[in-house]
Amino acid sequence: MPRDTSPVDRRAFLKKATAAGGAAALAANAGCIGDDEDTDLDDEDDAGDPLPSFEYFNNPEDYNPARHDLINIIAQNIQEVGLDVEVEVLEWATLLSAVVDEYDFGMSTWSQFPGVDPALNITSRYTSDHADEPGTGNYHGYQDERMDELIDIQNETLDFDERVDAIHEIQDMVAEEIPMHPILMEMELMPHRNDQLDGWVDHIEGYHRLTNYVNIEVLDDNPDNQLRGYWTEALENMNVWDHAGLSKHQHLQSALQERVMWMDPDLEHDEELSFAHTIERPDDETIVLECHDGTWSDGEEKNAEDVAFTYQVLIDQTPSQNSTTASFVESSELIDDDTVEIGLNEPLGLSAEALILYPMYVAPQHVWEGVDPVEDELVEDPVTGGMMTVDYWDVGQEIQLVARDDFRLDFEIEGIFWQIIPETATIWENFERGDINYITFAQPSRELYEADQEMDEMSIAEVEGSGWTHMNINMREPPLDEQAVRQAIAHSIPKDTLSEEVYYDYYPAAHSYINPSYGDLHNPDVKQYDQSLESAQETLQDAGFVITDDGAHYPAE
Amino acid sequence: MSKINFAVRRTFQLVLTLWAIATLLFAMFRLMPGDPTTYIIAETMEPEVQEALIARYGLDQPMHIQYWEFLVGIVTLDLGISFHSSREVRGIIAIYLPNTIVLMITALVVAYVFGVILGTIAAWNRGEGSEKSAVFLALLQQSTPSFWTGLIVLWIFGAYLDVIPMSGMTSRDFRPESFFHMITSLDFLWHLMAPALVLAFYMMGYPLLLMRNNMLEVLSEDFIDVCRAKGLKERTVMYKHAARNALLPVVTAGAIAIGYSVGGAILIETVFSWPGIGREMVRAVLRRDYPVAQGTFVMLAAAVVIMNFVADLLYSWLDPRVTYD
Amino acid sequence: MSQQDQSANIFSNLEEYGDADDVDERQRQIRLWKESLGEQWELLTDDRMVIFGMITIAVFGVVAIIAPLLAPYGPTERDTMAMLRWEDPYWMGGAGDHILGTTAEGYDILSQVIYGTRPALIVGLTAAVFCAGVGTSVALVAGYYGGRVDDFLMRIVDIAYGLPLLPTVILMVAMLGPSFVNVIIAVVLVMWRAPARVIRSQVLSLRERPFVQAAQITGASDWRIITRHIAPNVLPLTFLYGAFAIAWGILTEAGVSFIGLGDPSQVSWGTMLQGAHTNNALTHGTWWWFIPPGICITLVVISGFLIGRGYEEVTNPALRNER
Repeated sequence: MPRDTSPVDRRAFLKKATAAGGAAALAANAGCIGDDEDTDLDDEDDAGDPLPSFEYFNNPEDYNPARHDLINIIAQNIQEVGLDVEVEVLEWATLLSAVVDEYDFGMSTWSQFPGVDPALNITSRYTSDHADEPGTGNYHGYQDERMDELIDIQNETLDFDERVDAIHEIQDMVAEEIPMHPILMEMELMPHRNDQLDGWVDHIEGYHRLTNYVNIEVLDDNPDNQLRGYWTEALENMNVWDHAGLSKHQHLQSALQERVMWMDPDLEHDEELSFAHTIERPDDETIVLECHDGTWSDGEEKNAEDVAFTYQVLIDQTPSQNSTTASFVESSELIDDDTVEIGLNEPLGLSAEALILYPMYVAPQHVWEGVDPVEDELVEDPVTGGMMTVDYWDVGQEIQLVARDDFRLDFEIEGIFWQIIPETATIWENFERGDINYITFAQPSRELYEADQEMDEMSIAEVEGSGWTHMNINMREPPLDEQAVRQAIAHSIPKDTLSEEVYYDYYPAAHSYINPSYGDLHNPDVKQYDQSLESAQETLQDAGFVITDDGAHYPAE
Repeated sequence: MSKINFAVRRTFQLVLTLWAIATLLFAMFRLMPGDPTTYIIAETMEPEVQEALIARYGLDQPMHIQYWEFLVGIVTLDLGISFHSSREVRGIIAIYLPNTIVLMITALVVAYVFGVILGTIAAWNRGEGSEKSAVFLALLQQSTPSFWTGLIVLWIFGAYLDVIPMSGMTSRDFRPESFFHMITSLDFLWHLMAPALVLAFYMMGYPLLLMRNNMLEVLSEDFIDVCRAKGLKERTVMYKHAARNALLPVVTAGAIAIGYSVGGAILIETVFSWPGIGREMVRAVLRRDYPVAQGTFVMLAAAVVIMNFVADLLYSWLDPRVTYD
Repeated sequence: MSQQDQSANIFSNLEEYGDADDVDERQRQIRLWKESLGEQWELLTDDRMVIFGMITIAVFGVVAIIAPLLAPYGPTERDTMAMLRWEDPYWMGGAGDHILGTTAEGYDILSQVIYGTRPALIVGLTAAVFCAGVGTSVALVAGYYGGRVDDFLMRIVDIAYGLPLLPTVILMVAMLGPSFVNVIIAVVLVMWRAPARVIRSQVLSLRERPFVQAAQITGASDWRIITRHIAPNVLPLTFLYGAFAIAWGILTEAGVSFIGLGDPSQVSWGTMLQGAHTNNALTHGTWWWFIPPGICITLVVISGFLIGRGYEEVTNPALRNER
């Protein structure tokens, strides 16, 4: 993306004085409520029991410094509203497991990326049944019949407008009820050497997918016509049936393997890039695919048979990473040399592409036939069907991919090289020297901001991604079971200040559950919150809660 | 008691210790809060998939069977499969352990050579300023957090002067054909220098003090006076007689240090991004990859126990005064 | 491999000073302990390096106690209005009144260094007390009773010797949760072994001394013999390992925090260094963030070692400096 569409006027971060202007939401004095003259305190006689305290989980600082800071600032604001929040720092895996597997938390904040289509996220998060069974996704404990209806409609309809309406209504409900609340929109950032690389294509999935790999232009100063990046820890296994959830693997698999379907930047089926160039829906329980053909990196023929085989493995083995897809697929049949018919066990509408086709890499039948379970294999020398193949791989050190000349598409880059560099300092050092030419996993940070200001050779391609940094609320836990309390919390989040102060203006404030990056699916008119402590307190008071010197109380009996 | 007898008893003790540590480890992993299965299972998985995964890692077996299989696994060096990468744990150890060993041996050799020399000089000049400075140096070396020294070395020589690489073991375009080819290359040496010297700086304090103390004890013994009385040159007395006798405990301490420093290099590996076994263990712990965490820990502990064993045997072999009780 | 066995025992003849007839039992005991300690104190304070160590620890101790009076800000206090992040020290032209500048989050570095004294000393001293206490108790029991008890306890010591310090602490903290208490538990679990083994061999030789055997013949209880005749004599060794444990405790806490397994709710020197490291203070050249905590760690740790060395020379006269 050209420079001029990016927020050019990044906050001059060293000019401290300007910060106060953006911090209006934080204007309340630290300390007790009574210090703040704007607060309209209630009569103590009206006060009943104080609202119970609740926990706000925070990740350790080194896991994600910016988010750690963001949570501390929000918690400070919630405290100033008069709610008793306790920040608890948990090691990341423990935190995730407490929320996702045990539903045992008050509030938590992290980032999530629903991907090319929000259907899966919506279904998993808000289906009422999922609230009763820990580990199934509805950790908010949000149960609503209308929501269940809407989930079914958006999953099953083949009518685009009907789907849009349903998803808009879902966003309105989420904004009102606040089982979750988005804070900042995650931008996909691609800082790169503008003397070596160009031609980035904005895509909701970011810049590490085939769409970009075939379009990237190589400039004169790029010594070996490669993408040269880094990862902070070892790459361990190139098995397409395992670990697709890890971005480091997805980024490389996108170059190494064919996918049944790719989406273009408009989120439509990309006929060129997808192995299935034609997708037909004879009815809502059938998908018919017509496929390209070609060769695998070991010279064997690559065709529709491999696709039929891939789905057959799904049916026979249900590999864990694809178990959601597998739960919908009932049959897979080769109709003729280049046509495959996939039968579903329940009606799926427009969401079928994202659920059934997009997640699947085509697996070579001649390699995987007879392997069971496929996901347990350690693959060190993968047979690839995509644009590249593995040239050199030292697990603890580096990996080098090289272009295959018998791939069906034309492209400029001749290879992808990744070195394992755990230290941020070293990453930027190498970037300045041009040894690496793209910041593979960029996050808003002082390093990024300063390079953006000072380094002429760096440009940043950026596009709105599919995810947000957001707040999860456990609606089972008092006082978070009260809608007014959740709304007060939403009011107290200083989104603009956080965007400016902590994320250097790279991530803008987010308001709706579905990001604008989804185009028509996004609802621009959801309820917005004021980023104001006063509004937060008013919301509580309007709902009958009593705020005194020592915080918020239930009304007296 | 004979030497053979001592060796047999010591071997028995070695096995007992390893067993106890393995058992401790097994118990610890089952006591911890949360279930090891939570890492490997995702919310979107179907129940039967979840069960299959649990069975794959043997977590559905009753506790005593898991325990038995764990012990058998250790004996047969089959340490299980990583949750994270599906690699065999022993394969992972085979990748990272040699890197640590090279780093560690280099540092140990430097530390012990210089430590012994400085310790000898310090003892010889006892009561003088140079002794005090040597002792103080040794204490300073032990007191400065090694990772902090590493940070400062990186800050000055890496970021500021740009004369040492900031991280890693080899340069980008260097593709060694074999491990041996790699460690004998100049490029590797250039990368090895800073972490090895920082580690050596930290490890040097101990042999220095030990050598000094042993020297002082030896020098207070009668035979030194006899040597002097014979009219031998001071230098000869110092190196040939005193230092030689004082060296034995340092040698065995060195053997023990090999065992401990395999795990002790963790911080240096972290600072210099050295792809070693310690860093791998920390990473496994942080991402709850229990088979790898368990396997690497058993390996690190075994290194310690075995080197202690070797040191004991070495000591009994070399020192005629040792009795075996 | 205990070289301490032959070391001279400076209190072996204490018994002869006492006059059992005119002094009350308890007073006698107190006097005995007092004398032992007093004598050690004199030997110790002969050494200027020991004095330096003691003064340093005392100064840090005072700082820890009066931290709220000294520190201009709270350790995690920040002005959410202005949020001075990455501020230079004010004597280098930084805005605000931050003597050592501020961190990436806008916390006052000097205040963090001052408050960091508390966890360092708490971890160090607690680890010291428990290491030395557990180690000495085990040694006294094993050495005095001998036989099966000794065998059993020494096998446990052998097992503890099989545990590599840092990996064990990392594993335990990762499992029990990152907190100072768990760091201390882990350090003690590993480090009690050295005093246990060394002091035990000392006790073994003390048990054979005439004054102990005399007491046994007169029918003194085991408890009395241990506390009165043996314990005072191993005290210098107890202090020696206690002092070393201060050093090990603090170094370990710093190392574990640096890896990211420190107590996340507390500001310690280790977590400061970790914060500086994760926020790349190194490349930004903000040395005022990562130099002071390192110096403080080194100072306290070296003080522990210096005091330990002092005791080592008390217990082993061959090491003393006089020619």
